[in-house]
Amino acid sequence: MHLASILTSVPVLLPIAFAAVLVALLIVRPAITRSTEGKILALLALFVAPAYAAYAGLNEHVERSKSTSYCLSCHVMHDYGKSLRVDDVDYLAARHALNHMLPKGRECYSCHTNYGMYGDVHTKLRGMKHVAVTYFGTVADTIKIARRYRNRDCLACHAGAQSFEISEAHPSGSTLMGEIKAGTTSCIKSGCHHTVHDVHNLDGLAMWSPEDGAEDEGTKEIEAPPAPAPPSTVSADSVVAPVTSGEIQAPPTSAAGATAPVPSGPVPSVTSAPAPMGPTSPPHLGSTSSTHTRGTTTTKKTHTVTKKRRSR
Amino acid sequence: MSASPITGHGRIRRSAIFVLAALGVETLSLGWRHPLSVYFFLIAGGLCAVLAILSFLLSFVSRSAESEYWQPVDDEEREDRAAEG
Repeated sequence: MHLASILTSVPVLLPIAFAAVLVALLIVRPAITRSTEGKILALLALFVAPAYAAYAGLNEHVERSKSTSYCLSCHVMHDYGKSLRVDDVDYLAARHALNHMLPKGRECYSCHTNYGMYGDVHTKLRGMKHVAVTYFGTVADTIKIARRYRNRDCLACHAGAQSFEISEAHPSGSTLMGEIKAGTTSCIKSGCHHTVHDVHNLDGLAMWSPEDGAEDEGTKEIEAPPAPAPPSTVSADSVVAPVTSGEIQAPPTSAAGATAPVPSGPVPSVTSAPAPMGPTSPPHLGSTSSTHTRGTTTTKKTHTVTKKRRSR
Repeated sequence: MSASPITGHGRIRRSAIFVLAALGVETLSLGWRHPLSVYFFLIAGGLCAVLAILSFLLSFVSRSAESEYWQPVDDEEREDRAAEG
């Protein structure tokens, strides 16, 4: 057990230690329960403190099971973890994970949780069943999602987001948007975002990791459009999105053709609205174009305007 | 019916030992970074907790627990008292 894991478990270990001390006192001197104070102490030692310690322990187990490393600890999930690094905008899971649209380290759980009432409980009970099948049962050759993926779980993040509401593919107020929000038209099954993991076709695909991006910054020549976009049209998504391959759609230049001032200061946080999910995304959000072909390795890398700005 | 040799305090002590065992199981499960650790936590720890609760509740209703505070009345003595009354 590493020191770091011990330190992170301190908030859990404290109530356990407190309960253990009280219980040990009761073991050594059970006669103290004759008095009223002793009875209160016994109630505290045998019920209240252990109950709180059990709650803390269970909560810690649940929190651990939300991590991506926990999900990928099972061998059958290996390819699904690999699909999170596919350098292809068509891969929905990879696009979310690589662009930090999901909480870091909780990529699996963020999409595969249930955002309804008692969603955590339902999700974890289902996860326990999966663990039991993995260790004590027989895993099927082809893993299928337990139930139909509902739009509600997508809309938990995307509903109300600018990039989603003003998308040309499903503009706000349109019939399609109404169907999406009502759940009658599936985001995935409708064919618009059907490539999610596609683990059977991962061979030969280019993978991307943050280390690759760091290497590009220092070793490769930056080829970027001449003028960056005006600061007012740059969203936080375009700044943090690590786009490294594919054909890049440059943002519009200023009307006078002069170089716009480069904003200084810290990079906006990642917890902004998600980036657009389709090929018809607004260009000002810095997305890649739809001409990206799946399965081709990167031959020429062109950096976005925002990347050039960061390098300055 | 023969009285149990374990007193009420003995049952409380036994209950406390089960609780301590449950806490130990919980600590071990937290240190074991494995998907099955939660099963270990729930099954083994839950079993210890249930035994602790049962043992504690048994200490309330057990005959030996009463014997600590009141002397048991023999059947013969009860008959004598009835005859006198």
